[in-house]
Amino acid sequence: MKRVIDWICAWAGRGFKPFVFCRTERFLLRLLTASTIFFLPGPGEDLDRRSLPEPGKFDLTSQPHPNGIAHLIDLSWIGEPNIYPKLYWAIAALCVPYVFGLGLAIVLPLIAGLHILIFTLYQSQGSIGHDNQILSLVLLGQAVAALLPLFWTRRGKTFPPASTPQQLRDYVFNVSLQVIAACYVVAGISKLIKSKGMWVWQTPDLVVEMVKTNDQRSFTKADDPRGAELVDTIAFMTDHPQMTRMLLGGGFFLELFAFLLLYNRCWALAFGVGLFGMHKSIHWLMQLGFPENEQLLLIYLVNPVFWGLLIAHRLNRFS
Amino acid sequence: MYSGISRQQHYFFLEKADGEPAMTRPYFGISASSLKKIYHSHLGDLRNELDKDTEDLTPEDYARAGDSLIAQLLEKDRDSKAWREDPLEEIRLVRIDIARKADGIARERTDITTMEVPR
Repeated sequence: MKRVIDWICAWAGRGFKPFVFCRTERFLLRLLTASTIFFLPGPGEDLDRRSLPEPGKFDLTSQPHPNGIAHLIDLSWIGEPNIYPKLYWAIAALCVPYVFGLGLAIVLPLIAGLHILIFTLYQSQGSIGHDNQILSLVLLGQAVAALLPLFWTRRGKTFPPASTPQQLRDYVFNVSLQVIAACYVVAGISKLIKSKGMWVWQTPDLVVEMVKTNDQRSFTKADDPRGAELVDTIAFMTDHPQMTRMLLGGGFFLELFAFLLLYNRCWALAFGVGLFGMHKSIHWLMQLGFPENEQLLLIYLVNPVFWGLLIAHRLNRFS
Repeated sequence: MYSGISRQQHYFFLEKADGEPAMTRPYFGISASSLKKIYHSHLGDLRNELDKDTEDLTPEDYARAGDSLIAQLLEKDRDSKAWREDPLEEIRLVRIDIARKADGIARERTDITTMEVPR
């Protein structure tokens, strides 16, 4: 047992170091994060909430079922026709210095604050979802990461988690990765607690959820052809419970152990591909779409910017 | 994905006076999934107001929550294509319970409430 623990400690000691980001990567990660606030790919009409609604498409002027900070402050003013467009364009304007990495300690708290306020009003209509949550949390994490070091430097001290100028510049992105990992670990732990450890065993019962979501689609829009496609999948899950546990249990373990994505870039890539695949299969099976999650997984974990730059660098060195 | 998995589930849909479903997206801009969540928000408010546990709620309480839900939906503008082409005169809120049984999936229907649509 001691040898196993020693091996795990030695293995952990080799990883979990802050990732190092070059200037181009930092710029492109900020650009892609800002674009996620406004643009998301996919069939928009299938989901109630997508990216930040365009002015004219946001008509929520009341909060019939307050949620979160809406319990403390009335947010219904946000949806007023003369207010919301100003907030929308304010976020767009704030994203310009954000993308260029200017004044992050000022612009990030404003972007994160406005994003949270707008989507809190969205979540105060009686239908609560968590599809926008990850982006709000990443923005909030970035805002805290931009602000925290200032408190130390103003006192003439070094910020402990980022002691070098490079680490300080990278801190915002490393915190983003930690926030994404935390979102999945919390989801995994909540499954573990709520099911009393039986989640994987219970996965064959997900057919009930599939039937429900499939039926619901047929009462949402008249011309939805998905129903017939899912009949075979539901029959497969009913007839092959062990196979279903193996297939769906994988997603559960990916979530529970998502903190391992912080080990190094390769682990981040592996978890990024795995979790992205999990979201795609859930979307296909249950029509539960999480486009923000998918996009942030692609940007920060799969990170084609880093791997593209690395390959280009290696090719240049050998040519 | 779902944190709790159950052998039983339920959902709601809306029905027109002629018994045909009233599609939630074209009429009210929401999905049937959101319809369920909003209904349960109203039911939760009512439960708090009446200071009752869930098991003590009566069919009348469920109907009251349904009435509040339909009233909230009708607050929205009724200028979509669906309203212009086939205006609703009456809306019925229907609950379907789904259960996984040994011989397959069983569905059971309960009519929660019916409301006339004010002009």
